[in-house]
Amino acid sequence: MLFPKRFRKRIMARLNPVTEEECTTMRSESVWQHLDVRVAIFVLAVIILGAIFAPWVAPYDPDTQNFRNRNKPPSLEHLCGTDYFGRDVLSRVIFGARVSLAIGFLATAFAMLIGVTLGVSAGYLGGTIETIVMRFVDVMMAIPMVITGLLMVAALGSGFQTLIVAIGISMTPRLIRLARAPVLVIKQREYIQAARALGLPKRIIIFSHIVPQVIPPLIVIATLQVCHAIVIEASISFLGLGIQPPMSSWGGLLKDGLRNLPSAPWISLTAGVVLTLTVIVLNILGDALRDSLDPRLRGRLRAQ
Amino acid sequence: MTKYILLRLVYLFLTAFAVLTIVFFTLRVLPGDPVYTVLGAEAPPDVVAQTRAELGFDRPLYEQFAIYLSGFLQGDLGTSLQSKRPVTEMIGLMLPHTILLAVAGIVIGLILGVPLGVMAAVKRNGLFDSISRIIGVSFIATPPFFVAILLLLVLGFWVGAFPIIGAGEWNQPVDILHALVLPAFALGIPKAAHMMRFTRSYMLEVLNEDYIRTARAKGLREQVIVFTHALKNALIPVVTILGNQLGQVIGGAVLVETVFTRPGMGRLVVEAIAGRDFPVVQGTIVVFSFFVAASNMIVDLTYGFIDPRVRYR
Amino acid sequence: MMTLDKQTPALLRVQDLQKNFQVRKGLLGRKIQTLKAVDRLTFDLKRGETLGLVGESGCGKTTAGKTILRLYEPDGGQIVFDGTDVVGASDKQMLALRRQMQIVFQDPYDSLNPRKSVEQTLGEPMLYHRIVERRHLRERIAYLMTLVGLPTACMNRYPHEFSGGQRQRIVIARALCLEPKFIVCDEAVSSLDVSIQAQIINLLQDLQAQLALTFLFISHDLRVVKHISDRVAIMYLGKIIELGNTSEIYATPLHPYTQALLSAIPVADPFNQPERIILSGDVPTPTRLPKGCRFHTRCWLKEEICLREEPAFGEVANGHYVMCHLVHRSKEVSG
Repeated sequence: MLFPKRFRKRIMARLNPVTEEECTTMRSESVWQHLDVRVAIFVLAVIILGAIFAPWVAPYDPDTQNFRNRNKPPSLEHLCGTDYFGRDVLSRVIFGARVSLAIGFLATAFAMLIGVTLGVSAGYLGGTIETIVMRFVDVMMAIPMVITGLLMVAALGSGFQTLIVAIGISMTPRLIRLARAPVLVIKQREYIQAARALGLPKRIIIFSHIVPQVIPPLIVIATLQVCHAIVIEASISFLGLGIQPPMSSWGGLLKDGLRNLPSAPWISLTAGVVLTLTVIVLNILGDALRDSLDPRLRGRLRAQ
Repeated sequence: MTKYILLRLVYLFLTAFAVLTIVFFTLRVLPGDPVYTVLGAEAPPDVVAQTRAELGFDRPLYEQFAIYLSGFLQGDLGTSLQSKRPVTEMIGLMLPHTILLAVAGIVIGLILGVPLGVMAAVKRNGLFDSISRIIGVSFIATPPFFVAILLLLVLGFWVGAFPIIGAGEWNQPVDILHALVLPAFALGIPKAAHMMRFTRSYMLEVLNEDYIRTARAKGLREQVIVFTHALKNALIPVVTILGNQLGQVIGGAVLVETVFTRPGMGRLVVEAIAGRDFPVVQGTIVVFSFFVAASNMIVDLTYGFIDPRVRYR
Repeated sequence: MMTLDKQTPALLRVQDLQKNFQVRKGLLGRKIQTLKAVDRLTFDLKRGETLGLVGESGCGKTTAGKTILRLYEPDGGQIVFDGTDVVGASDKQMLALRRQMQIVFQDPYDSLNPRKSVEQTLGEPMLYHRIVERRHLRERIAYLMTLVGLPTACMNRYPHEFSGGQRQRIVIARALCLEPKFIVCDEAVSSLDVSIQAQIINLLQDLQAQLALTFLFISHDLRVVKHISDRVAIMYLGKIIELGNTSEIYATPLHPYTQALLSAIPVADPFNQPERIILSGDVPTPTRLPKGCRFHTRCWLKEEICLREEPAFGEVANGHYVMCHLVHRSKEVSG
């Protein structure tokens, strides 16, 4: 014994060891317990449910025009006022959520599918394929995402499906880069060499050993990318090249609102606030997801 | 160092060239005939054929590309199909407005964001930190064009302190600045929120380093520690991120210009895309990408001045 | 160059094997330097034998092992395994060869996929190679686990639920699952505690006896190598500088580098400590090897010829090869 017992006690007290109990409390204090995360989940649930059940939730039909009720300010009858054609703004925002959210999620899914396939393949296969893909990504990244989106819409035409593809394509380069980065690390791990030594073919190594490792961090990225997709969709529709009237989308409503801004500011404000709220909420959830996956990153920021 | 800069310049032009190629072929391979946009959908077939020949759209793609490229290398970006004016001239008129707006937005982002981030880091977990965190989370996510609409509504229409339309004439500098205030803040405020969060997190990281503890142990004043020791090191990643986000800033500028009906690259590119004005679309996008790539290059070079460890060969 | 004896049929014959790495220097990777990690390596392995490959870290022994299995593509030389050319093997031939040649890695924390249970780790390759039918798979896995001394109840557990030694047993089971003839043990026990090292080494020896395995045992631990190897090869900067029977090398090391290495083995007798040879001088940068003998920068016996000419790798006694001018000259004088 190096120290007598009473010293040991004091030393132990100073070292402040962690008891098992403390470990469990530390663990249970996860990001999901933070107030902002809980509020965010609640708000997102409300928005998504509102979008899904729009026909039952919306107080009016979004397309019914009523020329006696043009540009009416918010009242008990029309909680968020009416627009230039007398349509109920709240109902249009609720129906717009369907379009905006659907395009946001589907475009991200599209971009993930292509981005992960290309990024993981480029990262694992290396060589000429990697060089070609990554140079292409470098070039595409030099064009602002909104501009790529506009270009693709111009080329493909505007419509629900084409918007998904256009926005998906404009997001793909970034996802390729994000999917490739972890592959370069995993590729060097010895269990990948072991799989090669066992004679497993490239497709099994990629899909059975690499992709499952890459997916969890990419899900987090995807959550954050949905924000980008929603904002790009809103931007394109705001510029008049996206969703065409009378179909309503948040970007389109912002555009309508801008035209009547001094006389009917509630149009832009409602659409803008809901859009911003959705993006904030998705941001908070994305950060929380990332923190729960990797506690070391807690409080840090996404680099891109 | 000189060799490095030259290499980067070569790379820059290669990027611009690649963007040009991609845009050129995307526009032509995918459906949409610009001839009808020039003549209208109802034009008789012989006129369409004649116009197509005049514009050179009847030639094989690679020939069109070669012709365009030889013009590009001589600084000629072609002629607009709609206004019939040279694209370079149109861009020359619009580009200064957009650069002014983007630079003003970034400057505002830095001036607001960095000091707030430093304060939040120094007073960590305090009231200021919490408030700035909430504001930060809200504004990071807000699309700049919604901030623009809010500013336009409140300060433009209701208060009436700033012009609501246009960018002013170049010979009236006061007007230019007056008209710039709202758009620049619309662009700068979300950027400031970004900068604030980045500065805060990197400052916190740096403040935990051993050399900061050493500086404290030496008895240096807290201001000296924060500003000369910590901030200098925290600024390196902040500068990188700033450079990498120039693309987003330019993307945001396109929309902010639309909100304020300002002349600029944004309006040019949106109108050109809507009207299938191929030469203008190509020209504007190449200029955009050139600026993004150039800013990335400048950021890389700036490293050397901020961080003495980085040396170029 | 030397030729190894052609009479006894070797399971593995490695001749002039080369593996280079391109090291990029400079900001844009403009300056490319070549690192000769494995530099004209020559040896052979008899059936059922264990060859220890020893050297300092960075001498290229791991690269050599992985290049033999074509986990790295060789840049030159020949590898012949059981009569089949490994370097020029087609994809189909390679698939058959993979079943014969396996590897146990150094770090059991890095060499098991954290998202795969023991069952998946062992089952995936066996199903792919059709070693067993799916309905007999679990039996077969249980057999493998018993073979390496793991409780079969742990079949559905994930790597993080095992200790380092247990993980290494899984890695060994995985190496055995395709019923190979030859296993490269790449620092297979280096990352384990000493007590566990002994267990794993005993396990490897038992398996060798039971399954008639041939080992290439790569290690930097001279005591472990002495214990397990029939023959030992000493590697220095990508080349074997001495090769011979274990007993002979440990009793009479000929190359100065081997002498220095062996003098560093701690002896558990405080009154009978051997004299330690402390090497001075710098290890040359692997991208810029010196002219002449590659060891001359650290050799305390070097002569003028060592700076000028690279010594030959010649046989001095039966099956004992050395690459040193001084040894060859003394042999000429005496013989």
